[in-house]
Amino acid sequence: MTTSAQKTLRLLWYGLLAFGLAAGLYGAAFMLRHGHEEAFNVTREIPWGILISSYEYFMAASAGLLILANMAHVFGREDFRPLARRALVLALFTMTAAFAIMAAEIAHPLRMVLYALISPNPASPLIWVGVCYGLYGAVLLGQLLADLTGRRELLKPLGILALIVSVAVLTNMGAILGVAKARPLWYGPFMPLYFAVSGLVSSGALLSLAAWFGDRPGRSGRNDASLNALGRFQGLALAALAVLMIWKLVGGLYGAPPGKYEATLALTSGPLAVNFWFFEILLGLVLPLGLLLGRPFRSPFSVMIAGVMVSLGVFAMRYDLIVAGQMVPVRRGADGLVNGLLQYSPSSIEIALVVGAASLCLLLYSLCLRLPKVAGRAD
Amino acid sequence: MKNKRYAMVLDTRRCIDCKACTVACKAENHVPLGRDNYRNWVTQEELRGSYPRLGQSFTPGQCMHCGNSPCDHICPTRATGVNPDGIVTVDYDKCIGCKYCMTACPYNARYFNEEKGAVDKCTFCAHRIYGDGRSPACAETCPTKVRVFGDLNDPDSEVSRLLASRPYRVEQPDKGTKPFLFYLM
Repeated sequence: MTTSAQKTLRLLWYGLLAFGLAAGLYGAAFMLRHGHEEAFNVTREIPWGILISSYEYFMAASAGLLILANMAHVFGREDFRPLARRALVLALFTMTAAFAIMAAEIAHPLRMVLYALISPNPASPLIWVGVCYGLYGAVLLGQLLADLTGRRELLKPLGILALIVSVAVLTNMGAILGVAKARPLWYGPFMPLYFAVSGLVSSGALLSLAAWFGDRPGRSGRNDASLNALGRFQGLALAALAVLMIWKLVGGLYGAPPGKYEATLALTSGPLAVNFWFFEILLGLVLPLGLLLGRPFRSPFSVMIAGVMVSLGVFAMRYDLIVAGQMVPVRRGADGLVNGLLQYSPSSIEIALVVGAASLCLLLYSLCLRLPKVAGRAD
Repeated sequence: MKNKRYAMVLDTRRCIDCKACTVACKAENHVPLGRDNYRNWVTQEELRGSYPRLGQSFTPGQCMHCGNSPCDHICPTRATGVNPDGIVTVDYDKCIGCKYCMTACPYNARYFNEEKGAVDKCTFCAHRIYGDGRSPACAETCPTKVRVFGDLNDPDSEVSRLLASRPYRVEQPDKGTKPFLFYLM
């Protein structure tokens, strides 16, 4: 690729991110000026919408990335080593995006920090998620600093801690939904496991994109051996997720369990069917599984393509899970039902905030990789 | 002396769906206007029978002041609390607006009050009970006396006597929330 073509691509890339960031800032300004009620399409019956699902997408991806960053440091998988620093940087910025969305979603983010410290409720899974985030952020930053400053002897012990807190983050995020007895689609021990596996899947997808597109926009710097290793890992993680999905469907349909059955039907043949079958199943599972497990198709390019598809698929998966879990009315007599289900579609402000957070993550990542210290060891 | 345990007993056969309870609640508790903003409600049950022999019942509802409250368990900052007398409360200053309690409540009894900047719900009009001992506004205003409010730990209270003399049910007992709104059958 010529230098001028690279420059044009880079300009386009940063222009796109600047546009996304501007959309997010507009969304934030609108929300602050007009309030959540006017800015968001969530209701009393469906209080959690795309902001919560996107926050979960980014946070779970971050925790998964920290696990992948330590495949080399802890498990000695040398083929993952060239991706380790990149995974750490991406974990930091996906976490930043998750927190940016959370700050928009929560009515009082500062009050949250204050009262989580002075009036915590240990019975609440949210408090434990907060504790996990604190530890997670500390370990992530510690490991990134150790890596950047060449303190290699710290990478393994910090890596072991990183694995523990990442699994804790993923499973606690699942537990937030899993303890909600009022929502039959979510309730039960399935959610923590589901979040752990889907978090790994989404992080693998993001890392394969980061590995393919190199350390700078428009300049290829990929490491094919690492991409192949990532592809094998992704294939296994996706297979595990497919097994979970099958049993999630069977559990939701078999014997028509009240509440869960209607929510599952909302996914399979209701208002979320396109999301479910096209994005979650076809793009998110079937096609990438074929690309990654089918030997004739497996190549660094197919790993990257699978990464694009899985990123879209898991994003839709998070949305479907959050929305479908609340579409079945919890009490009789709810108004505004369509075929017995409550309705939700995100507002333009909610979408703008998600676009803004995603752009923030990508912009910070792109800028960070321009630093020689960060980019130096990448690939 | 034993703690009070407040409860409400409802005789839904008396309900005429006039919604005076809803209006009284809104006025008493300054509930903002808007589709989502209400502390109590009247559910119109499905029509029974066929024309011309039709019947319909109405079921008023509100926060069930559960003995095993999911909202209390999951609130991360203890903004939701349960008083010794069983009234489930919200401390607006502690509420962070995460809406977790709204997803966890199986009765959809909570809403986000934009004016207060916090989640809001029925408190049995605690300010009236603790102030001058008056009943909740919904119970006081009901023209057909559907709602009876009182102390279940007092065997001579009207709520105790009603529950001793008539069969009753609670909403969604399978959720294990131990609601303290009792519906006479």
